Amino acid sequence: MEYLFSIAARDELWSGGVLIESRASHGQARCRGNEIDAADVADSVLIERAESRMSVMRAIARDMSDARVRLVASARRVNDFERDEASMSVTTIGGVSVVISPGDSLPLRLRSGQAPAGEGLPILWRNGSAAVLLHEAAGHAAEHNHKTEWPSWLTIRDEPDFAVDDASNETRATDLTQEPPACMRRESFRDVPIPRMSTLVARQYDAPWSLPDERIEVHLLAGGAYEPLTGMVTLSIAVADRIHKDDVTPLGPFQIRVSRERIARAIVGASGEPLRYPGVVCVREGQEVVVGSLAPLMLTTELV
Amino acid sequence: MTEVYRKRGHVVRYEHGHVLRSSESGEAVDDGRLFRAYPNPSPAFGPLSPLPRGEGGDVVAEIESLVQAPLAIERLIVSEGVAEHECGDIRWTEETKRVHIAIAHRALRVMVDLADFDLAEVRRAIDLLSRVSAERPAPPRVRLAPNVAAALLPSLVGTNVVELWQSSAEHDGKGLPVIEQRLTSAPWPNWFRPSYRSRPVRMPLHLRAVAPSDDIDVSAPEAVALLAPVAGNVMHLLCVDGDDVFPSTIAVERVLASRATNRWYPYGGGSFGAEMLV
Repeated sequence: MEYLFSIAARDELWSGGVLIESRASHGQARCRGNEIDAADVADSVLIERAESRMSVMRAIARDMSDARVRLVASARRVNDFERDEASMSVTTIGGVSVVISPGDSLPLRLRSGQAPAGEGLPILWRNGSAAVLLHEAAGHAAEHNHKTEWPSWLTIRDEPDFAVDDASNETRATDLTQEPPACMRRESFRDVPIPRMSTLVARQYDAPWSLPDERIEVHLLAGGAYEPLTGMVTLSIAVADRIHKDDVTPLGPFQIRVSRERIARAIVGASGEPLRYPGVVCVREGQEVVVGSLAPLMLTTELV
Repeated sequence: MTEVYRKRGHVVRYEHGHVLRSSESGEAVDDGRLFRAYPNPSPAFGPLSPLPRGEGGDVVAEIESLVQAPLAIERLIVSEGVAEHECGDIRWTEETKRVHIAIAHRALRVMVDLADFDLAEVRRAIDLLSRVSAERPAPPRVRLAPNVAAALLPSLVGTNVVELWQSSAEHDGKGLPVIEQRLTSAPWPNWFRPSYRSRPVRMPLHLRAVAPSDDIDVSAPEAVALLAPVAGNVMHLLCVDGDDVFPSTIAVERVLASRATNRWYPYGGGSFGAEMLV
């Protein structure tokens, strides 16, 4: 199969409302089977499209005087199919990071507390944050064909929101509990396309739901990782509270490190429709891609 | 003062079963406050150097033939490139070769990074990984193979584990000469710039260790490859002691002896291998 992949991108770093780094990139990759010839050829249409996505984000970055903000916009074409991407990564002075799309509002809570998380408490994953848990434990595991038994009331799917992937294939939704993501993605023209998640959507169907009085509530994560050789999942929790009836204690950042099987066993309930988590910048094989992340409110037994 | 840097070149990269030939030309402008980088075919350069010869395909084929089940190649990236640089009125050219390989066996992963296509260390690591037994406590003395010591050196900058020197070289990331000197504390005199898209940072380059002795106790177990990225002075290593092959975690607190080699490895801003007793 032969196809032409073209891209234009702009990547900016703002600090305290001031632009400090700006990178433009453009090029095309002519792909024939497993051979790729890439060069930094300019495509004025794609450059204009990528630049046009920046103006809204720049206005937001300019107003954020107490944060570092990274803006990334790209426009790509695979043969005749075009699509755009844009994201903002906001890191506060306190070190809490969040990825949002232009037009999204920032989460209300961007500050960690100081109290220790303690041990043995069930965890309520708010704000769609269970999608990050499942991104690592189900999505990355699926990339390595690692199977796990998940609750029967839970579905975990990759649902691309574009019709043609970066290797000129028609996209399709995949059941991540059964198969790897089918969507090929690449960060730039100088990268090799590899199967990646695009939008992870978790849904519950008549899940059990009983909220314990005492629990941890997770709002934002700073990052996560899946180790394919051991099946261990590491999650860095950035913003969370300990709840005891009506008392709310903001927690300091903490880490969860457990096996994916334990995570699957720990999921004991969920409620409502999938909530869109602000966003996940996923790095694999040195390539950064933004992965959409949606999950309902979800309850796990203790993981700390 | 505004600094203008230009780079252009070719790279051939073998990755995930693909062969990628890439040609780029770009410019970076830094006025001290704002750093800007963008593609720019510079008229100042003459004809572009030809594409590298393409030995990387043979390297990939050889490594693939060496790794037999139950071992598996988890990641294999081989590249070779040529680049022309211009910073102010300084111009220079460099050729690069890189091999990054991660080989998995059960829950272990051997990682080797090379800046040439000599695969002796890869062959040895593959052979020993296939015979690995259970994890053992850290031996009291360990000999680090040159590739292992090279991976460790960037993490030892600013510590008193071993005396570190920067080796001389013609150009740093701003085209300035790299002066041989003992490394004590920041700010470092030279600049590291891995890409025209990266803002250069001060970093010690081309590290080498100087120990009180070069008398290596050859009876000590030898650490032949990394099993995880170096974390500070802590390394998870594939070790061999006679016929026994085992993983072990070692915290390097003191370098007792070091015998330098001339082989350069692509860790941090570069480091030279050394056989090292720790």
